Amino acid sequence: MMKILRLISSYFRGIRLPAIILSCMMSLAVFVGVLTLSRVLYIVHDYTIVKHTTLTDAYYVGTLYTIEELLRDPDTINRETEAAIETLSQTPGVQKVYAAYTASPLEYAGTGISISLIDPGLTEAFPRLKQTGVDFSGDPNGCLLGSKIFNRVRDGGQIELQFFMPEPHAETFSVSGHIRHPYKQMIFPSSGTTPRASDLFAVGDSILMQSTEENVARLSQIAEIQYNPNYIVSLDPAASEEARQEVLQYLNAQGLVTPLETIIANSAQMVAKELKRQLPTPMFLLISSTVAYLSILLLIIRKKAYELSVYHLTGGSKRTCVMLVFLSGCIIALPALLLNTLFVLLIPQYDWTSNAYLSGISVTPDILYLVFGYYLFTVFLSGLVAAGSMAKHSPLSYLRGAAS
Amino acid sequence: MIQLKNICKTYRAGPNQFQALHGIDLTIEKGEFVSICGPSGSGKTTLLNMIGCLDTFEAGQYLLNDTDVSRMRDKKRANLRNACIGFVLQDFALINAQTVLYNVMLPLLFSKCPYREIKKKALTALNSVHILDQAHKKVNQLSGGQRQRVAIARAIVNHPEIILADEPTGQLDSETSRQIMELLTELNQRGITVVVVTHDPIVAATASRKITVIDGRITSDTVDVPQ
Repeated sequence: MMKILRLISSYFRGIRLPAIILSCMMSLAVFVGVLTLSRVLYIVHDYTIVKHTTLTDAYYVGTLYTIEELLRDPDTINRETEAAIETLSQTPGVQKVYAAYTASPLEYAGTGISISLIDPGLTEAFPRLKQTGVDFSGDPNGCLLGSKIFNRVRDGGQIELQFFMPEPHAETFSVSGHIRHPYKQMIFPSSGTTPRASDLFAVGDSILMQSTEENVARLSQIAEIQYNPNYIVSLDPAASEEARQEVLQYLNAQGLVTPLETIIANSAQMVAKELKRQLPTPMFLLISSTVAYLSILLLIIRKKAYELSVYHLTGGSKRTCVMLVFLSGCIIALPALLLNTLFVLLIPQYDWTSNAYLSGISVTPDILYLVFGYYLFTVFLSGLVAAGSMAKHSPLSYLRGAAS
Repeated sequence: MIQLKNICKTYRAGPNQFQALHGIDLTIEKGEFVSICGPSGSGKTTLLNMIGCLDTFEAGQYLLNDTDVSRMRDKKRANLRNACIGFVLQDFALINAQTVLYNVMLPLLFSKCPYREIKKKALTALNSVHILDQAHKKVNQLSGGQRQRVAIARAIVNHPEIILADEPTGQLDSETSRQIMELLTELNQRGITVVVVTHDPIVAATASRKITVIDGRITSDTVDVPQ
């Protein structure tokens, strides 16, 4: 092992600077690729979840109120939303209403947070939510932690939250799990005339729970519970056309009504546009750095050919010489793998939301496929180049050439 | 002992081919000092490369200490070369950007010698050719004679049985050439078989056996009878 390290270390003598420059270039190219993929994942995150819904005839009802109106008179709007949802739940033709609530005020470790409550059937209506960590199958009354500030709280443990109603006191909840980065929660925060999947999700320092009877009963004693003014209504497939039209008429009076298919179509257009905008730069950088990698590897082999022939003369087999060339290529590409793996592992641990460049990204372990995939590709290229160089010119030919 | 039986070697370049060796039969006993002479292009270096397991041949048999090398794989030939053969070439075949010490350590890096002993053995070899004081200099800082001494140190560091020298004095002045040949003679006197390829009649005269190769064939093979 020490011998191999000595040979490799000596092999890099005289080519350290180009090797370092190439390593930096590859690391940067992979980093840009990782960042772009993170942005793409962030963009498609919501679209993917909504697209794979099990709901067949559903509508997103968005509030007609402006933000100012919502802030000015939240109690009235809350009552109206609650009344509409109650009415819909009892209307023939409606299969289910998926609504979300927010419980506040509360704090965790001095930081103001909120609790979002979602319908217990939401994960069945949108099964892909489970892949993002929104899974209450272990404990329907437990909570899911959706922020970096909860990174130290372990799954299956307890979390203590500070409430202020009726007076300041602490309450303990059982932790079912953590929502994966970027901690998006499907709580229907936004509406508009052309809503997209992203309007159904929000990010913030928040805990997610199901609006089970037990949770609602407990939280209503210690916090203000407000309806989010937007919701999804799923129609009964067995309902008559008349009943269906009646429901739609009612919904149109409540707010902006958009079929879920339209939301999916709007999102698909946006995703395609963003991919077209985001992908060219990292692709260009990755291709350029790969071409540079190949070129510099070939230049290095040319420069080191005589040295390799001396190794051959003194007892190194052709295979040993090929291995040295191959390993040198692997080492040059290694920093790109290590630095970017570190980035993927560390980013979810820290709060980067104030960084304009690093917010709006979804860093998941899936991104490591890109990082490792590119490294394996460069390793493959290094092997090809190493084997090809020895096949083309034997070490003896370099010694003969030097002698003549 | 080196035994070559009916060795033939042909070089191919596209449609053209050139037969460098025609049925060479040669036996070199342990401890001999042999010179191989002949005009340019006669096949001397090719013959030396065959003996040194650096190149392969199409026909014939090569026995090295009764081991048939003829169809050995590259890895085994490399191991054999590392253990039994040392090379001293006209252009020194040293890595100029590296230190003298590293160059001499090279054969040991490919051998089974434990890593912690490598440096000590390399320094011992340098000492035996009287160039220990240059150990930490870069090769490109040395004179031609010094470089050839380094090459000899590298050739003997693994205690080989055979040293193959291809025009070892080709780039040296007469005085330095004499010193280098003295070194090779000294090594031969210690029992190492030395085979020298040379144009130089003075160098050839140092050997006790002279082989002439012309057009890929051995045309003469004479032994100096001591008087």
